[in-house]
This record gives sequence, structure tokens and C-alpha cells, in this order.
Amino acid sequence: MLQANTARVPLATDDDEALPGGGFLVAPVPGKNTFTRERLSDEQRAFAEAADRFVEGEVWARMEAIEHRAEVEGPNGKEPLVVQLTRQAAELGLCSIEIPEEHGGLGLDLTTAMVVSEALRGCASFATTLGAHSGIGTMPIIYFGDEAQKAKYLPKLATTELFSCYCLTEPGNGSDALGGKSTAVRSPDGTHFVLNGQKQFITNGAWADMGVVFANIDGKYSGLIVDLRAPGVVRGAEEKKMGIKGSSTTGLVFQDVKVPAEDLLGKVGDGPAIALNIIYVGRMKLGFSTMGTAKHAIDLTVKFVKERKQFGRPVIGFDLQQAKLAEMVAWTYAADAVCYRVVGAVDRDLSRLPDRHDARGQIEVLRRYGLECALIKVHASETLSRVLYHALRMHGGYGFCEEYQVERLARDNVVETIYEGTNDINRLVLSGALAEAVHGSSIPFMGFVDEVHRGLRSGDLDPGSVDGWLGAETARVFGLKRALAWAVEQAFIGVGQDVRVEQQVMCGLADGLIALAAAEGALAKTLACGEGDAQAAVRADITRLCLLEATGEVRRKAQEALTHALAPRARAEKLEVLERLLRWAEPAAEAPEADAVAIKRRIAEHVAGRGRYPF
Amino acid sequence: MRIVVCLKPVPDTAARIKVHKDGTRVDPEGVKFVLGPYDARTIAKAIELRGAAGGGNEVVAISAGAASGEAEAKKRIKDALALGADRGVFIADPTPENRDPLATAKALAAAIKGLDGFDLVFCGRQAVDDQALSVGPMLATLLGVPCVTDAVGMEVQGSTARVRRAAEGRTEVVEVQLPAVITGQRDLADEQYPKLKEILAAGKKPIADFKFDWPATPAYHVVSLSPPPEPIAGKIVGKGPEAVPELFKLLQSEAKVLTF
Repeated sequence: MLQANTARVPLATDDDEALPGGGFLVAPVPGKNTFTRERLSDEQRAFAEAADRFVEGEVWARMEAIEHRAEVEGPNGKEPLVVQLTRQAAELGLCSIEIPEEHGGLGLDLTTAMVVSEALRGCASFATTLGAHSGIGTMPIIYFGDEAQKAKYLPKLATTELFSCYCLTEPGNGSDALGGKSTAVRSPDGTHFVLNGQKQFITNGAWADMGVVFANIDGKYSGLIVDLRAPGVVRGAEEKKMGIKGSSTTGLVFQDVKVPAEDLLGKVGDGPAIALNIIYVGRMKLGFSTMGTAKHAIDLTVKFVKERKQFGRPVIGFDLQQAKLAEMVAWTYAADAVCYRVVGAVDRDLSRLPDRHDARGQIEVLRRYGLECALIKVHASETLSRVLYHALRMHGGYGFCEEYQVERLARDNVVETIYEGTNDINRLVLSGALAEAVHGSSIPFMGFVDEVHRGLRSGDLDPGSVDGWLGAETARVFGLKRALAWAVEQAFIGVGQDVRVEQQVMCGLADGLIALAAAEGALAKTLACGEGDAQAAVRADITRLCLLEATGEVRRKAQEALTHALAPRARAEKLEVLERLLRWAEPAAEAPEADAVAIKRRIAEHVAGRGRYPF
Repeated sequence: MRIVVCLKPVPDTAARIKVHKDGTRVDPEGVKFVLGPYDARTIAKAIELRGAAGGGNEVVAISAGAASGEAEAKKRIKDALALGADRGVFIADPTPENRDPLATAKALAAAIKGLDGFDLVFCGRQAVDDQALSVGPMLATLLGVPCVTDAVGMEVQGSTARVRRAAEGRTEVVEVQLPAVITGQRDLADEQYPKLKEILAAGKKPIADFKFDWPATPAYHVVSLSPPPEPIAGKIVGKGPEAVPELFKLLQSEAKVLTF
């Protein structure tokens, strides 16, 4: 793709080097070399298909029994069906993707782990059970365990011979995750710790054999590997939850539990590092699985509205239902694009490490992507919320009935906006990381915004044009970046030192950044698939719809943030500047791409013809 | 023992099938192709028999497919390799639109003859797309070996196979001298899910290309293909015993399947 513009930052580029740390806000619009789901290797695709088939054949087929906590005969007597299914999944290798080969795992890349997370869709009780075991219950040992701990635990975690969980939350500490009160006191002879305390909302609490438990040692928050079958461990009653009813969520009480000294994870005081670093991958996985569930919800809904007849014709024949379907598909397309763009960039950076399997190096790379991990989590889980809002209504009265799956998906989705850091917390993480990147100059923010100021002063805001297919849309995404980056600068100046206090302003900017990521992601994915793709026309329509929506979202959020952050007398002038900048993100009124109604009809017609989420 | 499994990529049974605009075939656009359900069972059985028979045995997966979509066609062989088959043979077909069961059987027979001997050849009882049910028996004829169709179970003792067949209203157990062609029913084995480790290993297993001189014209060709009539929507009249009178009434008056 060619670019001809007057700004120092080129308008567009084929490659995608814009991540991490929110760098995409001030980078050229990426093009055909962006990583997308369509670029998965044959092997990664085969992994996805294997997981897909397992979920469809074994998990979906037993969903009602899972939700009612059915028990089946296991190796050690009766056990919940969801546990047995996790054991079956482990036999296929689904619990050992990230475990190094020398410890009985497959040692595969992050993209593979994410592809499998996406496949674990539409079955949140199962995905949560498996994820708490093989994700947050295992990853701390992969990243922070010493060789002896890895050798002792990882092979058994890979097979589920040991079932794990992650014990961070306490009754008084949820979002304030590092403020837990549990303590571990080293015995006088130094051979063990004595653990006391209480943990809350522990997934797999009823059946986990072991857990990664956080406690204060000499006042420093630390991680311990704890045998939950040891004397002094008391498992609480099951929480009666709104969703993920097939999973186990209990409290755990530790009363003078002896933990061998060699089961200290990392060093004393490593707790915050473990907790914060583990959650990056957890957030990313949740993004992928909710994005996968959104595709599943679309499949269910398309089938329903094609079969369900009202007023003598299928419900999909009505304009309003078509609009909903088109939006569901467009939002999900963008979520898919953002998820894969980010994991592609992370794996690219991991592959550049001198030693791909060096745990410290991996953590360092992931830490740099903290903003993107939070972004994916919020965006995909809320995309699913919005998709399900439409899906329920398109199902009419049946959507409200248990017999139709969307009811369960909607209940399950609530917790997906709460765990792995609530979406509010993640928005603050995201905006905090953006503030840090802007102030710490880790992204070339100032240069980019200076260019905008120069344009405003000279009156020449034309960013130039991009040749070729979707060139106008590419220039518009660049226009959206300029408007948002300028708004971020103005808001930061306005709130000054109060960045942490002004949560509404910060979260508004976070929402603007998420909207930009969605539109840019959709565009980059469409460009990467190319004009020759069989579905290129509908991909282009989806891109246009995403861009229209993102521009609206950035306008709303930036207006609100700036109105508060700016001095009242400066408001009128600055809001006018915002409008001037946003004009470059919008299509000409007479252009066909300005007509969202017509775009939605075309998308819906295509999706209905395919009978499912079509990509 | 050398066991051969013959595979055909077929549209996913959950896919929405549309007739191609030429009116004679399924439109492949947007359709996901998978391993047929019968083929998947024969692979599982072949792996089981290879394991039971001890070392020195192998399972060879053979498939013919469009030369233009070779990578896609080879994926089904890779599926078999991921399920445990030892190696693959691919027969590229430059004109797949000319294909009919006899040509396919001839191509498979030629490839199998090129294998330096075989003991068992498995085919699914049918491909779920064209449902010709003919490649297996034709292949046996061309190879000059017996054919047992619709197997639902089997074991091998030395050079004899004891095969259970599900025939209409009865189960038949037959003994057949190997080598033989067996066509498998769904019950032949439980379908297996590929292990991720095996998927990795499958990437390193060889797939040989077998060149076959395909006939220029088909022995028969499809003149027209029409979709099935729109299904009539089902009706739920209620739940439990209290729904029975209404159901009974509708079966008499509406469906007219009860005539008393």
C-alpha cells in the first residue's frame, strides 16, 4: 500500500509493528501483513478443529448434566462430570499446551493456547474449570517455579493427576487483590511455613488437589504451592451463582496448614509479580473464549431467526432483525481481529527472545502487553454481552427460556465481565498504562500530537490519501487516531496530577481507545484477507460499519471527558477542534459508506445466506 | 500387517448445502470439508487392529482429491495421521469434476497395488455427500479380493477376519480370508479425537504422491441435482402424560398416521 501524506508519521504501512503499550494510537494504520485468524498455520488450525470437535461432541452434548452438577464414575470414585471432561480434555493435550516439553507438556506458542481458548466456547462452566486448572492454576509454576517444583508438579498437572486452582481473592480483598490478609509463618527449623487465612470465590475449590495460594510472609505478599488435601484445609460451601453453575466456586479456610519450605513459589515477596503477570495471559484467554462464544451465539441466533416464522415469514426477513444480526457479526469480527492482532504481535516478540522458553523473558514480553491484554478482555467480554443482548431479543420469548442456550450464555457472560479483574479495573489498568506510556515516552505520542497541533495551526489537516482498496477507510482510521490522541493529550493536561482520581475521564479515554482498536483491527484484518477474498465485499462493509460506530464512540467519550477536564471557558473552542479532527474520520455525507442502514442490510443478507458466523 | 484406509473429504453435515449454479453439484463456497463420519470410524478401527497385532504393522491413509486444492485435500490425510495412521498416499486429480465411483475405485486400486502388499482395506460404507455406496465393492473387485460390507465390528486372527455385519433385522457374523476390503458402519468403532501431540507428530509423517492416469471422461455423470423439499416444522404439543390426548388427536387428524 502506498502512502502520500504530509505528516511525519506515515499514514499507513503493510506491517504491524504498532504494538505494544498502546502504540497503535499513534502509529500508521497496519495493512496486509497484520496477523489474523486466517493466517493460522495448518497445525494451529488442526489444534482448533480438534478442540472444536471435542467441545461439540463431548461438552455441548452434556451441557444440561454439567449445569446440574451431574456426577459420574471416575478413577477415585464418583466425581463431577465437568471434572471428568477436563480429564478427557487433558488426555487430548488441552491442559498441557503451555507446559514445556521436558515436563510432560507440548510447549506450544501462545497463539495455539488462544486458538484452543476460542474453541472452548459456549460452555463457560467447563472452560472456567479447565482454565482455573491449566491456566491460573498451572501458569505460576511454569513462570515462577524452580526446576524441582516444575519437575514435581507440571507432569501431573498436564494429565490432571493433580487438579489445581488459584487462591488470590479473600473475603475483604477482591479488586484490591494484593491486600490479602492471609499469613504464612516460617517454622523455627525452617522446614515449612504455617499458613493461616481465608480465600474466597475459588474456582475448583470443591475438588482441587492443590492450589497456588497467596499469603504474607514477614509482611511480604508471596506465592505458595499448597496441598489442599493437607490437614487444616477446610473447603467452604458452594456459592449459589447466577451463571457457570456447573463449575465449583467455594471459599477455602487455612488453619495452621503446614506447607513445606520448598513449595514457596519464587522468592518471599514475589506474590505481586506472580499475581499480576499471570493475569495477562488469563485476560487474553478470556478474550478469546468470549469472542468464540459470540460466534457461537450468532450461529444459534441465525438458525433460530431463519426457522422462526412470524406474520407468515421468517423473522430474519424483518429489517430490524437484520440490523441486529449485522451488528452482532460486525462487533464479533472486530473482536476476533483485535484478539488475533494482539496475540500475533506477542508471539512475534516472544519468537525474538534469545531463548523462546525462558520464563523471565516471556513475562517481560507479556508485561509490555499489559494494556492490550486488558483491552482484549474488556472488549471481547463486552462484545459478547452486546451480542447476547441482541441474541436474546431475536429469540423473542424463547430467548428467556432455559431450553434455548442463549439464556445460559447470557447468565454465564456476567461473570466474564467480573473475573480476571473486573472490567472497571481493566479499564483503569488500560488508561493507567496509557498515561504511563504517554508520560514515559515509551510510545511516540508527543511527536504525533505535535503534528496534529501543527496541522491545526496551519489549517492544513489533510493527512494525505492512500491508494488502493479501502484507501479512504485507512485514511479515516488515521483521522480517528489524530482526534483521539489529541483528546487524550487535552484531557491529561486538563486533569493534571489527578489522573488516578479522575476515573470517569480515564475510563472514557479507555473506551475511546477500545473503539479505535476495534475499527483499526477490523480494517487491518480485512486488508490482510485482501480484495481477492471470496467474502471481501462483506468484510469491507463490516469494516465500514465498525468505523462508523467507533467514530461515534470516540466522539461521545471524548466530548464527555473533555467537557469535564477543560476549564469551562475553553470548552467551546476545544470541542470545536475535536469536531474538526473527527471530520477526517467520517465519510462524505453523499458517499455510500455513510449509509449504515444499507450496510447492515447487506451484511445480514450475506450472513443469513451462509447460515452462520461466516468467517 | 498393512492396513489401508481410504478417505474422502465430505461437507460437514452441519453445513448449509447449496446447489452450485451449474445445477449438477454442491456449491463448495463457504462449505467446510471434513473427514466423513464412516471414514473416521474405519481409521479408529484400523489403529486398534494395528495396535493389537503388534509391531511391524502399519496403517496407510489414501485419498484422491483435486490437484488444484491439494493442500486442502491432503488435510484429510493429515487428520488420519493425527489419529495415528503411519503414512499417507495422495492421488492428485486434475479434473475432479469428471469423477465417478468407478474411476475413484480404479485410482485407489492402482495406489494400493503400488504398496508392496496389503492385508486389509477399509472404506466407509458410504460418503455422506454422494452416497453412492459403490467404491468399496468396486475396489475389492479391482483388487481381486473379497468384500464385506456394513461392518459393525471385527477382529483379526492370523490371516482371517471375523466381521460382524448389521443387516436389516439381523446381525450376521462372517469369516473372510485376508486380504479383503471391509466397508465400515458407524458402530465399527468409537470415533476418536486427535491428541494435540499426535497432530504435531502428523506434521512429520510422510505423504507420498501417487500419479494416476485418470480417464478423460466419466463413466457416468450427474445431469441435475435438486435440493430436498423444505422440511415441515415439528410441533411440541406439551410435556408429560397430559399432552398425550392432544398428540393422539393430531396424529389422527393432522398427520393421519393413526387411522383408528
